[in-house]
Amino acid sequence: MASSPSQIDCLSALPDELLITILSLLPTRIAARTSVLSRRFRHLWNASPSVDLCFEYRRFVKRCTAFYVSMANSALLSRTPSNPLLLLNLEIDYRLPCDLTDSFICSLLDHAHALGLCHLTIEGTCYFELVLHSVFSISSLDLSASEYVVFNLPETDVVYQFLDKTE
Amino acid sequence: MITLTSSDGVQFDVREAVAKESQIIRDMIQDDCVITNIPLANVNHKILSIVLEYCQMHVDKTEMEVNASKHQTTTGEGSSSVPVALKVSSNKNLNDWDKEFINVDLDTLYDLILAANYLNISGLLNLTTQAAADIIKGKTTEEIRATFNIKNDFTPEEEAAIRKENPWAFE
Repeated sequence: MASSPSQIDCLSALPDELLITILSLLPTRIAARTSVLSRRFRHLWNASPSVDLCFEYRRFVKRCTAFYVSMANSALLSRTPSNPLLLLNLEIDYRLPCDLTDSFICSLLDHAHALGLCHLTIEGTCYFELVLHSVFSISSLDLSASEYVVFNLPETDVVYQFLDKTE
Repeated sequence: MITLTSSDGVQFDVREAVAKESQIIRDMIQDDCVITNIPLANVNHKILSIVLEYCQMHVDKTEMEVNASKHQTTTGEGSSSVPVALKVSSNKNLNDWDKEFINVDLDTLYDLILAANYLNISGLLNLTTQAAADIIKGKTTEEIRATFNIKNDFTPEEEAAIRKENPWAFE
């Protein structure tokens, strides 16, 4: 698809707003990779209104947790309110230690809430029990999780749905 | 019919419904209902013809669905599952068509992104930006630079320092 290389660098010529749209469609790990392409791209990924923290380090199991935490720190926890967040996708993997999961994920959600989060998706493939304190302010919540995950939802008007993983 | 004139002076006569896939054209028609000729200063005829092909296809598909469900209502036959099934298969066809449609060279893809943004056609903007994202996905930084012909203006030391900032992005 669209593979013939371009002679001139039209991608860099796109306005910031459109480049940020493109980066917002990528998992954060991939979007952050563009920071070394050139000066033009240096900080663009930080401006994306979407943070997608997926767990993809299949070949580096031992370093998974450290990478995930450091990705979440850079992409989410160090984000300031001047840079609002619309969309957050959290993938919570069984390789994340359980003691980390509760407190860490809750701190991510609290911070996302402070940044004005609107749409939250959580994919869980481990056993954990998560209290979603911050969901009352968002407009959509999608939960896609194994049967072992317990979400405790506060009294809320938010319309949420469980995504069927078998689809 | 509405006449759209490209930046290089080529005229396209299209049905109002097709032109109205563009939010800015929809707004123009709403503000001035006798308007018949709209000059588009930022889109050349090559790109405009591709954009209109997209709009035409999406309008046709929508109209087909509406007609099918009207037919369903007037004849009153069958169960309600029929139009749903029709809609699903029609969406699938349209997705396949979109996929084939967006299989263009990179220069055309940039022009389509800019045109979709300028004309405010949200479906086409989603399709084109997603296509660009898909090209970036699964490539190393070197491959991304090579594909898009991006000139690396960092010194090796600067690049190494940036990689060190976010090591999780480069595994």
